Amino acid sequence: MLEDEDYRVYVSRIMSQLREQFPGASFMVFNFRDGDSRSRMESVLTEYDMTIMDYPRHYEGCPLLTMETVHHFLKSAESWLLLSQQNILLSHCELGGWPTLAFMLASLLLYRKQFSGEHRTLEMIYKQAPRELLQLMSPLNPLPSQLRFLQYISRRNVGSQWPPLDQALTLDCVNLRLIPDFDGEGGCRPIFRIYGQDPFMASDRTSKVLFSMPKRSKAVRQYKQVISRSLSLMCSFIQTLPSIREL
Amino acid sequence: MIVLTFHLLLQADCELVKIDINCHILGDVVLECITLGSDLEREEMMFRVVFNTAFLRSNILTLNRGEIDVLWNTTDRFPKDFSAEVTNYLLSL
Repeated sequence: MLEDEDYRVYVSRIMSQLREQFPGASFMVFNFRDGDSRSRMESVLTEYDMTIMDYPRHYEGCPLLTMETVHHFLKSAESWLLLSQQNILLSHCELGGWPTLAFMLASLLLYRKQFSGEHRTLEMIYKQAPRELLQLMSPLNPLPSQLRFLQYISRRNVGSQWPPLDQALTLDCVNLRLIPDFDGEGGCRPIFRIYGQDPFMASDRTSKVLFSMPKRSKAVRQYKQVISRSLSLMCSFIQTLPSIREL
Repeated sequence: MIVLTFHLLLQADCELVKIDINCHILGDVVLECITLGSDLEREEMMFRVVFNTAFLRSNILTLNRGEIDVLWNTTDRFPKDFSAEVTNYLLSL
């Protein structure tokens, strides 16, 4: 992590190079970061007369942003780029923000139809940095959820409202088909937590814990895979086959 | 005849675990499935799913092994045909 002065020198050098390379261009910077205080990037960029827009770095620990924020980002980016051929968009993230930045860039490329295929687009962006960076910054592989959100963007129909109207639902239950092996004995003891916006608090759109299964509740049970049993049954069955044939 | 018997065997052993939740949701939802250790304290993330309620096209969201966020290199702990089905119904406010 660079000290403030080193950071200023570092960013200033990049900005000067950009100015040289694109004379007459105007820049807007999208910055992915945490916290409400003024960012270091913003304090440097004021010297360069650049607009900076801050976006969060994650949503409940996941490297993607709410559809409302994604929509805001896409609209702002598109109108900036359409305003003038000389307008350039820069994206920047603070430490840990790379997976979200990659997701947001992919969403913009798909939204503007500059790229097609959610997986191809996201992979192309992740390749711009060492792959280890993603693993370092996200304990879980975020690609499945990121791809789901990218599908929401790329599969929109012309003419229909996008994003569609919010709809409140009741999440009734989760069915697990086949049991994962997390205890080394072919089983697991699952509990669920749900985070999001409370549908009964329309004025408060911040996310919170909506559901958390108590660890000591009766619902907490150990489940075991029965696949091994079915396999051993099959094995014993196969062993009996010759005798059946003999019969 | 033998093949048929095999098929029935597998069918009978196909397991399904239903976990009741009953939670009202709206917009962007993060669903975490965590496994507890035998002490009922220690936690390990099994999988996470993020979805948006406005984009659900049916009342069952089916997620196969490749459609859940898991810890790096833990996909093998899930059976190949694993799936999680999240059942929702419309909430009238």
